[in-house]
Amino acid sequence: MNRFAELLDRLSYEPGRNNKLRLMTDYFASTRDPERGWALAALTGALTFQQAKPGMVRALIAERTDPVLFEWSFDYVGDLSETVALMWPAKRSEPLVPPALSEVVAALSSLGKAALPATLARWLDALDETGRWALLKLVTGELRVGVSARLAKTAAAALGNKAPQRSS
Amino acid sequence: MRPQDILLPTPNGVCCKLGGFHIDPTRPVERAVITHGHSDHARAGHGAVLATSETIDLMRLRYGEGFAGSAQPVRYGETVKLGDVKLTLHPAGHVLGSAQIALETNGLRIVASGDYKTMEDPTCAPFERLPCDVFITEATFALPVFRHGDPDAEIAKLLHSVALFPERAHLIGAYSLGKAQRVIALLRKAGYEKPIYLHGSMERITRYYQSRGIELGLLELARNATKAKLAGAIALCPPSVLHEPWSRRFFDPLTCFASGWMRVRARARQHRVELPLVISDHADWEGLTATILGTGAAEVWVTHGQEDALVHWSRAQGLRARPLNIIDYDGEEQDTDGKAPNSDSERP
Repeated sequence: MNRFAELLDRLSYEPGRNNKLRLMTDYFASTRDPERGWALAALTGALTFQQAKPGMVRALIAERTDPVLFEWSFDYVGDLSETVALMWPAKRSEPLVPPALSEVVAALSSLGKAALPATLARWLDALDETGRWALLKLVTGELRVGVSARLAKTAAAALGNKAPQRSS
Repeated sequence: MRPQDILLPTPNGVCCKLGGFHIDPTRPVERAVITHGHSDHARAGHGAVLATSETIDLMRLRYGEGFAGSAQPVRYGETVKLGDVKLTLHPAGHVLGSAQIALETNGLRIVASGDYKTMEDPTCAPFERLPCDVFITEATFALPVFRHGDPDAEIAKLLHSVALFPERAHLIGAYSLGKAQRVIALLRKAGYEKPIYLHGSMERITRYYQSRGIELGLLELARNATKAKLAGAIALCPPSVLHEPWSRRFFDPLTCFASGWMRVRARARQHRVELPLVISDHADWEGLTATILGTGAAEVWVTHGQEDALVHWSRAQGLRARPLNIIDYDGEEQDTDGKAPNSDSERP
């Protein structure tokens, strides 16, 4: 999900509607199914799965970092997902394969509550800063990058030179 | 002999009484040893200045001939005796000419590292790790959230954006001394061969880098280019003019900012940046902590930045550590351009 994370990152900073459209269309045109389908679903808010609670994310980072340094960092950054994404200790031993968005969505809809923390930690180990930020925003249900469902559909429709359908 | 008998922290910078000099003093003094040319470290008006020849040249470029009573250039590795103190300069990897200052007397060695980074930089000599008893470190990015990552990946992100928005100029805010030239060198390394456009205030320093043999390719001044020529171009300017009238010469410019602060989203938003580029001339958290351990110093003095976090970490490693609380070092906080922000602006 590194490329999806890059898209979310760019969208979150880009104020212009047409520029957002171009970023999304570029992503959809260069990403295969089912990955881009899940991306469209995530952008339109159509995904439902068991969400991770902030308390769980806090517990994961507490196992891995100095509590004083975490508190100061959280104070500075001001957002839990972002702080955890930035501070998460890098695994240098072996290069891990980052999870695909489709793999994340599939696991989140089938995993039991008890298995979630370990799976999330494994994904975080394999992703970079932007990837971890996007993943944590997704699993905590805070994915907000200033894109309406309508705008995301317009970008997808542009792939086939079609107007987006009113409802789906 | 105790370390504080050699170097005494004062609010105006650290002072070496034995050798009769200050390091990077923030007020005019009789004799100053300067680590590098950024304006918060290299100020005009000292009686005598000792620094690398590049730092001296950069001070002269910025402040004019009368920047100090006298100036003594010292090469990396050359030893100078000042009073009872042996002083040597070593590369700090921060910007062209940047130096760490090693002081030795009675078998005790103190290293004042100034601003430094351990990451590779095609525009300056690489950081040298110096064994010492006391290490004085900066702390600009001393929180574990600051990891600068691979600058080449940031440049790739920029070039992807240039390809995706070929009609928009990519306007990159970058500090005029060091960062601007590094970004240009990184772009050239990535194979970008088109002319790169500069804000007028960057011209002299950038030409100076070129005169020192640093390849930066074809550079032009933005003010001499037509709006049509600037469409789709890459241009650099001091961060302070990103949203000034100067930027109106570009059609729908895409605002970028090359800085370690861009790692934090709130910081990027605060500057209304659309494409943050995490490229820093300071050590990140990993760089700071690995360097401290690498020097073997039993005592660490921490200055300008997030002192508390680095002092906390050092103590947890069993080291003696203290913050220096020197005032008036900006770090990367301000545009370290040597001038008031307004004087950067050219009229549109």
